[in-house]
Amino acid sequence: MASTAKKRGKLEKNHWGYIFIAPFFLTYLIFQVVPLIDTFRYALTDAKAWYMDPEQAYNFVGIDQFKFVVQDQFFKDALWQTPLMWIMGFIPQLGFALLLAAWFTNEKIRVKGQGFFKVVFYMPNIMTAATIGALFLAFIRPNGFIHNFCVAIEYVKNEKYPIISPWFGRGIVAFINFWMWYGQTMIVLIAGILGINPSFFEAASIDGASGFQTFRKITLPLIRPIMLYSLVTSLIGGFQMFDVPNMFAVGDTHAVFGPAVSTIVMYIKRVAYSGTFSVGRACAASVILFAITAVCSLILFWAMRDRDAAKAAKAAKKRAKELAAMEGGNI
Amino acid sequence: MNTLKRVLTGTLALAMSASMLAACGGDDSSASSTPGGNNSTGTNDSTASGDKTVIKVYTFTDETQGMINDYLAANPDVAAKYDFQVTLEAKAADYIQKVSAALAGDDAPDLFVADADYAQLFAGLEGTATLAELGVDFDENDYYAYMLDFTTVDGNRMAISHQAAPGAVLYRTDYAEQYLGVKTPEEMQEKLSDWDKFKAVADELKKNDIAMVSGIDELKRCFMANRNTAWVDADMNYQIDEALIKQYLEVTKYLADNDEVAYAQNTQWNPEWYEGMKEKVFCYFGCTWYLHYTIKPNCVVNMSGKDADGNKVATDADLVEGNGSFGKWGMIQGPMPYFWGGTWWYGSDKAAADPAKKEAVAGVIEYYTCNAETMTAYAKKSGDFVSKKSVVDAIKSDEAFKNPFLGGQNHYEFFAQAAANVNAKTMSKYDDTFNTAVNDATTKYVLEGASMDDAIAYIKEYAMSNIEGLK
Repeated sequence: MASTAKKRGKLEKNHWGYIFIAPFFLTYLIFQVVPLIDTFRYALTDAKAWYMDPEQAYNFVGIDQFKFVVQDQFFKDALWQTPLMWIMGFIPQLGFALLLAAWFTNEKIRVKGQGFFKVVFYMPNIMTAATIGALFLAFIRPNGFIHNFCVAIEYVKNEKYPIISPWFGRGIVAFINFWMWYGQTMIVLIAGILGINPSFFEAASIDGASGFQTFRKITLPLIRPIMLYSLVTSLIGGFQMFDVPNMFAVGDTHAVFGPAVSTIVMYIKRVAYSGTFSVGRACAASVILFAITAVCSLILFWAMRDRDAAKAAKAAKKRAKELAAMEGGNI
Repeated sequence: MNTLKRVLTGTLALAMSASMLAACGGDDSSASSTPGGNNSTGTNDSTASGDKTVIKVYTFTDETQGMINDYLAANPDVAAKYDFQVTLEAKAADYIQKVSAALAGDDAPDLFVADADYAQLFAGLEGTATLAELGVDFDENDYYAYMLDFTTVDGNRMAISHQAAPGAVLYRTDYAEQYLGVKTPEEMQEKLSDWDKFKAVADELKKNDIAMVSGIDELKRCFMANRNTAWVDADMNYQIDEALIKQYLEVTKYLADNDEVAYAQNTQWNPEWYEGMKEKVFCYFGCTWYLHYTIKPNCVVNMSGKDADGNKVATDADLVEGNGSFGKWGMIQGPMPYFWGGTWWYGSDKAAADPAKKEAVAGVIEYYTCNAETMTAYAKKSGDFVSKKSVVDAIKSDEAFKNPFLGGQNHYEFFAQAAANVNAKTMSKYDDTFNTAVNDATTKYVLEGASMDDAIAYIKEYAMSNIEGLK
C-alpha cells in the first residue's frame, strides 16, 4: 500500500489539484469567458439592450459601430482624458509609495509606530470610491471649504459660482485616485523590499554606500518586478476608471465638471444605459478599450523586462551554440 | 481509503460549484427587489404570503406606498385578500432600467408607475398591458386629453395618470408686496407675463438682495414644454426649436451674469434648492404635485419629524403660517404655460393574465383615477390636482376649499385653467437624453463662456452619441 502510494505520489497530487481548481475555472468559463467572447460578437451588431428589444432582432453591421465610436467627439475626449487623469494620479502615487516604503524598511531610521502609519495610509482604500467622491463633492460645492478657498483667492467669481475649470476637475479626480491608492502601493512595495536578501544591504553599508545609493543601486533594481506589477494593475484600473469621475459628472442632477472628467467606461455606460440603449455601440467601445489596455500592458512588459537577465540568457544561448558548433567541428 | 478521499473531494467540489451557481441564480431573481422591501425576496411571486395573493409594485416615488396604504385602509375586503408589496423604489435612470428588464422577464411587477420623462417609454414596452386588458373602465372625455394621448400606443390606452400636472410660477407674496408693491396674483401675473418683464422684475429684486430663481436650471421645464417640435421625429430626424432654446439660454445667462440667481449652477433637487424655499429666492417653477409634495414640506424652518435616515422632516403640525415661508406663496401662470410630470399607472401583461391579480391592480388604478368620490377625498387630503375633469370642476367651485400654503388661494381654479392649455405633443421617449444635453449646454454657455452656436451644436452632438440611428 505504502509503496504504491509512493510510486503514484506525484501524479496523484496534480490530479487532486486540478479537481480543486476546477470550480473556479468552470465558473470563470461560463460567467466570464463566454460573455467576453459575446462582447466581440455584439460589437459587430446594432443590438439594443435585451429589454428594449426582447426578440433581439439585431443586424450585423460590420465595423460601423467602430467607425462611429472612433469619430465620436465624446469618445475621443474620453480617450485622452482617461489616461491623463490616471498619469496625473499615478506619478505622485508611485513616488509617495516608494519614499514611504524606503523609509519604513530602512534599518537605520527604524520608524516607530509603523503599524499605525501603515493603517492610516491604507485607510482611504477601504472606503468605497463613491463615498470619497461624495466627500470631495461636498468640499467643492458652494460653502465647501475648497470652494470657499477658491472664492477667497478670487479663482471663482463669487460664492454663487461653482468651480467649473475642467483642469480643476481632472486634478480632483487624479488626487482622489492618488490618495486612495498610494497606501496600497506602499504595502506592496514594502513586501517587495522585505523580500530582498538582507545581506545585500549589509554588504552595501559595509562598503560605505549612502542611503540613497543603496536605494538606487540595490532596492530599485530588485523591486522592479513588483513595480511592474503595480504599474500594470494600476494602468488597467486607470483605463477602467469610472466611480470617482462619475461622481463629478452625473449629468442631470449636479453637473459640476460634466464632460471634462468623462472616461471611457463612463462613455460605455452612457451609450448602453440611456438614449437608445445601444449595446452594440457600447461593445465596440469596450473592444477598443480592451485593445488599448492589452497593447499598453505589452509595451510596459517589454520596456520593463529584466535587461541583464535577457542579455545573460542570450549570451548563454550563444555560447551553447558556439559550444555545439565547436563540438560538431571536433567530430 | 483513496476512493473515500476521492468521493469526498468530488462531493465537496460539486457542492462548492453548485452553491456558486445557486448564488448566481438567486441573484438574478432577487436583483430587482430592494433590501428594505420585505419577505418576498427569493420567493416565487405567485406564492401567497399567508393566504393572500401578492401584488408586486414598482415605483419611483415614496408617495406610492402611502397611496396604497390609504387604499387598503379604505377597502378592508381587499386588504384581507391581497398583499401589496412595494419591492422596488428607485430613482430615474436606475428605475427605467430595472422596470424595463423585469417586464421582459419572468419577474415582472404587477403594478408600476411612471413619471412623465419615461411614461411614453414604458407605454411602448413589451409586457405592459393595455388598460382595456386590465379592465379599467373610464370615460375618456372626462380627462385632460394630453395626459391620455401621452401614453397611447397604436390606439391603445396603456396608462392613466391620477394627476394632471400643469405648471405654474410660485412666488413669494411678501417679497412682491415689499419690493414690487404687488398685492394680488393678477397684478403679479401682469408683471411676469413675458420674459423681458421677468428679467425686469429680477433686476428690481436684485437691488434688494433677493434672487429671482434658485439656479440656472430652474426655467428648463417651462421652456422644454413649450418647444414647437419634438426633438426626434418618426423617421429619427433630429429637430430643434432653435429660437426657443436660444431664448432659454439667453434668459438664463442674463440671470446668472447679473447675479440674479441664488446659485450659478444646477440646483434642482439639491440642498441649495430646498434652502431657497425658506428664504431669499423669489420664485419657483413648480406644478401641481410640486406644490404639495416638494415646496410645502420644505419651506418651513422648524421641522419636528424625522425620516428613516434620521433627517429632519416637516410634520403636519409644522405646516403653519409663520414657520419659514409657509403661507407666503402665491401661484400664477407666469410667462408661459407648461406642464411638468404626472404619475402614470400601469399593469403588466402578467397581472392582466391572472384574474385575481387583474382585479386588485384595476382596483387601485380605478380608486385613484376613475372613482369621483375617492379622488375628491384624495385631492382634499393631499392638495394634489387630479386628472378627472368632473372632479376638478366640483372642487374648483367648492368655496370651502382653500389652500393655507398659498395664503388662501384656491389653486384648483388656477390649475383648471392651466391644464386646458397644456400640449404634450412635443414629448418623445428620448427626452431624458435631451434634458441632459440641454443641461450640459446651459453650463457651457452660461458658465464656461462657450458661444451660442457651440452650445446649440453640443445638443445635437450629445444626442447623436446617445441615440443610435439619429439623423
